[in-house]
Amino acid sequence: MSHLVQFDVDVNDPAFLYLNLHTDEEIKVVVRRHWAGFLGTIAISLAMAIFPVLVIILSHYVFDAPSNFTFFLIVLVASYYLFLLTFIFGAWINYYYDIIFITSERLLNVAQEGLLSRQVSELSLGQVQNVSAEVSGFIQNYFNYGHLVVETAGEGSGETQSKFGLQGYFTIPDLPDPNRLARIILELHRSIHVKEKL
Amino acid sequence: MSLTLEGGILLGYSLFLLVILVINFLYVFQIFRFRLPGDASLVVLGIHSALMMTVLVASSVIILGK
Repeated sequence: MSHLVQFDVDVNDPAFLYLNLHTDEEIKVVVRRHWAGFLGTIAISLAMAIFPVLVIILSHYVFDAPSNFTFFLIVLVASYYLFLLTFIFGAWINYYYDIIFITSERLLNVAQEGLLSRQVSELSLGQVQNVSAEVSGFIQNYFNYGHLVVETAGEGSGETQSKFGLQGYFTIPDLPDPNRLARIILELHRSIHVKEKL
Repeated sequence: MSLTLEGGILLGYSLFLLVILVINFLYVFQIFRFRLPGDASLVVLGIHSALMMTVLVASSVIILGK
């Protein structure tokens, strides 16, 4: 779990330059999506990896394949596995590069969306009205991950919940220990308001 | 006739390899642009490269052996 939620981040590292952090803004937590959210892709990939083996066995034992066909089959199977490996690699990048940065001022949701496409949405922690964690089902309860829904005073973005008008939701799926993250966000929200009152 | 057919298949395979190479290059570019210090990106990139090379070398050895 520790590798999914990272504290003690060096803000001065050049890797964080693209976040355009404000002066005196600190990154409190870096969160990646839980690996259990990637299990579906792994299962599909394993099923796809087994398929050509069945074709090769069939071509050898069920019918007598001509030499041209064998040559074509080798090229086809090699192409298939190269495509599959590239597909898995792309899916992994989409999963692994979805990152949440909780800073002292903002919540930044970096969503990797396919090849060369990234969406960075942010909300000021001062705008947060409510934070809730949704952990549902056996797998999510067992591995302790789920959805984090941040209700804001402004317009939101999200996959499932959205409202028109001033109020909005930020829904972030498959986050590890969402209850703890919800507490961290609410504590930072309170500390911002305490600072404003002083 | 047989040689022409095999040549055509190899040409198609080469074009496919070129497309796969470009896509992988773009993914590697993304990794080096957006990876964070201490993350698992380089390890996964190494495993992916090794698997790709295994498929490429194995298929080449079988094709050249034919």
